[in-house]
Amino acid sequence: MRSFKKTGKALLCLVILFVILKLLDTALYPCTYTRNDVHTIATQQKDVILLGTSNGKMNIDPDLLLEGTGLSGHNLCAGGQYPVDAYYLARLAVEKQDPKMIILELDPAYYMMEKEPGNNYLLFYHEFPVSRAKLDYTVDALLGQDFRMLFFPFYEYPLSVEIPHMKDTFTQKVTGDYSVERLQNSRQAYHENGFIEKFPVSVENFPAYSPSLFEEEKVVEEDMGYLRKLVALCRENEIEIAAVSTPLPGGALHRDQAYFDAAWDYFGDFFAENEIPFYNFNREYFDAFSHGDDVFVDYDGHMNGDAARAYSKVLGTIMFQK
Amino acid sequence: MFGTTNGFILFILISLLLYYLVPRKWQWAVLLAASWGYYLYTNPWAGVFLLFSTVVSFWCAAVVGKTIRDAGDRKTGKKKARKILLLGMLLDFGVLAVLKYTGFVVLNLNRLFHSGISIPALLLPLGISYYTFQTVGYLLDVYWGRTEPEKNFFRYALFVSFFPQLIQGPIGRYSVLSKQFEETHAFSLHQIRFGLERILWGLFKKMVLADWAAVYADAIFGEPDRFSGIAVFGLLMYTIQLYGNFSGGIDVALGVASLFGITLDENFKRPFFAVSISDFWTRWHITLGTWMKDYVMFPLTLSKRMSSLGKKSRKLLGKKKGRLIPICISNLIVFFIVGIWHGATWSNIGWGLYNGVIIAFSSFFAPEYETVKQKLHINDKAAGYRLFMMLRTFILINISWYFDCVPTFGTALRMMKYSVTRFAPAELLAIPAGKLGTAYTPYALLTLGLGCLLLLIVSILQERGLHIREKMAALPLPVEFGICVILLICVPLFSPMAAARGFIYAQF
Repeated sequence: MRSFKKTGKALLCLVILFVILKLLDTALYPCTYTRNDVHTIATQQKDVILLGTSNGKMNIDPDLLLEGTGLSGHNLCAGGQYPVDAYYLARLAVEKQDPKMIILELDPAYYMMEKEPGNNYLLFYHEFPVSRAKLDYTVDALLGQDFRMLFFPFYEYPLSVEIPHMKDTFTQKVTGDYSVERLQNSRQAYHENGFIEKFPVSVENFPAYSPSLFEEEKVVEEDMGYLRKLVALCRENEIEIAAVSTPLPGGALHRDQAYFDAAWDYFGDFFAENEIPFYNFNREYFDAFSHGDDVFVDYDGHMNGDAARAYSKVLGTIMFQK
Repeated sequence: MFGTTNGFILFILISLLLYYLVPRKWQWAVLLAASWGYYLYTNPWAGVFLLFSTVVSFWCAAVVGKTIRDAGDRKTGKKKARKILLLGMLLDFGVLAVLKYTGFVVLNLNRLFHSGISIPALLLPLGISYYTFQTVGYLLDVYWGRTEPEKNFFRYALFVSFFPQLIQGPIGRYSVLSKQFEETHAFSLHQIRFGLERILWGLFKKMVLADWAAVYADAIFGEPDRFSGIAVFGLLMYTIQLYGNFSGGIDVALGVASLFGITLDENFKRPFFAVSISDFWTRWHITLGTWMKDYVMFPLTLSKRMSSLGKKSRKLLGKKKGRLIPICISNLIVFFIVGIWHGATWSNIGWGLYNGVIIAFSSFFAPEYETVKQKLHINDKAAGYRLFMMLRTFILINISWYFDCVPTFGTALRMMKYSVTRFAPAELLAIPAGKLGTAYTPYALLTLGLGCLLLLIVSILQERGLHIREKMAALPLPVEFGICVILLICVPLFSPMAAARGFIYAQF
């Protein structure tokens, strides 16, 4: 009886601890646009899902891309999305709905870097609903990570920033508020279809440019492994897959031509071997859209909203032969 | 990574579940499987070296034990077994020496003879310095008759590979651990609670104190000339980093072992309350200190050569001073070994010898100190005098870290010079402390300051003989639970927003 009481008390302590951590997480972990993105693909049927990095996020508006095709789409790209994240996001999409096509926006730099621990994992993982994909993501990618990421995800965000928003964050999460108004700021606007519209920036205000230049010998095998897994997942589930490299500023391309050529050769061969259409706007489709600086908001290749919309139409015309 | 990954937590949970579910006589087998599983998972290739060391020391100890037993007379037996003992030690230390010191030797040969021998890139198996000392200690214990050789190879393998202590110590003794592995352990919530509290305290020291201090120490010692005006601050940060990291790691190891009902030797006893360098070494990395004392210092001091040296020195310097010479020389040798154990660099050797010289000097002039104290009517036990001694020791210890935290001897000397010639606290603001840059500096320093204050209060209470965890256990459950929850939440909230750094002492 005494031991039963003791065990009961210990279990009660664990439950209280769990509740405290859940409350802290609800109040201190911010509502990011990835929360909206993941919620959308976990709850709504979308025919076309875009995966990839910040260039995909800011350069492709799914509504304009799919205009006239009768297909629905969502832009699930995000800065910091490595192949491992793209793969598990695709797994989640397959588990929760029935996508017909996956478009992978390709930034070669992401294939030569180990994913840095911390926030980058949380950005996606934290928003996953309870699912088989989340379990596998945990085992595959999270076990080797710092315990704070799993149990105290709010640790990555400064208290000085999060405490003033605590009430809003808490209310949004508790009421299941996924409105996009709170995700706008002076530099960009997030749209419900996942597209981020960047406001124009004059060339003289472009931030400093220090790209990670592609070298084949630096390619991380683990990253390529997840790309192969993504292809296999699409094949297994009869999902069409295509790859896109969105236009980069001409100056940047010209400056590091040899590195970009090496990247396009490498990934061109990969996609050809796997019979995946690769829409490379920096080589084969170079002339299909402007590479002028005025189209972009930085030298990394993020477009301003108007240009991105125009580009999305061009991409849609080429991809779907409208 | 030991102690801080989700995988490690899962591994502990599974091991605990199995440990308390299997028939108790097989608990040790669960620990053995867990230890080897952990080691092979983290270092698949290094298992060969661990196995080699285990097999060699087990076999040699068995032969040594049998030879002594069969000889009837212990003295004759020891003489016969000596070769096997030496073979065992040679093989055990040999692997360590080749893997750890080849690069250092080749580098110095190249410098000395201007040769171009390529330096082999040998990887050091995790924990090799710890388990080698454990196996050699066991061999010597068997040889000296302090312990009987283990008959069961697998039980012995557990002693060598017990995972909580394998990576960064404490260096275990066979006589202490083998009994605990033989015993059965009933599930005890009390034990689990104690273990978790110890782990939590260790994580606080490691992740809040050491990891924040490391931000500053790394920046300052990484660019000593740029941050020359805050060299002293860098040194203090390094002290906090080293203590928080190492003692925090040991707390985690002791706490994890405690979850399985195993009590490991303490490795720290509030080292910065030490009143002399020799006192410091009875409080800092205690198990290395006692290992050195038992297996190097005493045998060396009592050896024939040292006896004859003692006789000669007594003739030359008189009875009092003369008898101190062998002790002083043994101390220097011990600290040379301690230095080189910490790493194959001249800086480490310099650091070891620095400690050895101070201890030897203090021992040699101890009678003179006593005379001066008596003449000045200094009361040893007065709080003021003790505080002065603590401060003096703290400064001497901090000076020694100069050799430890920079890669070259020359940089260490330069940092020493900066410490006394330049002072520009504003340079602190140039160190980005958080993801958003220097805005975090006051926050980081405040966190560190409060954390150190908490550590100081706890240390003072412990130094006064208060057993904090026992006191906590006597509190009403909600209060004890509340304290633990606050500490638990403090770790992620106040630790730097980055991945945890590794444990410094896991690289030995």
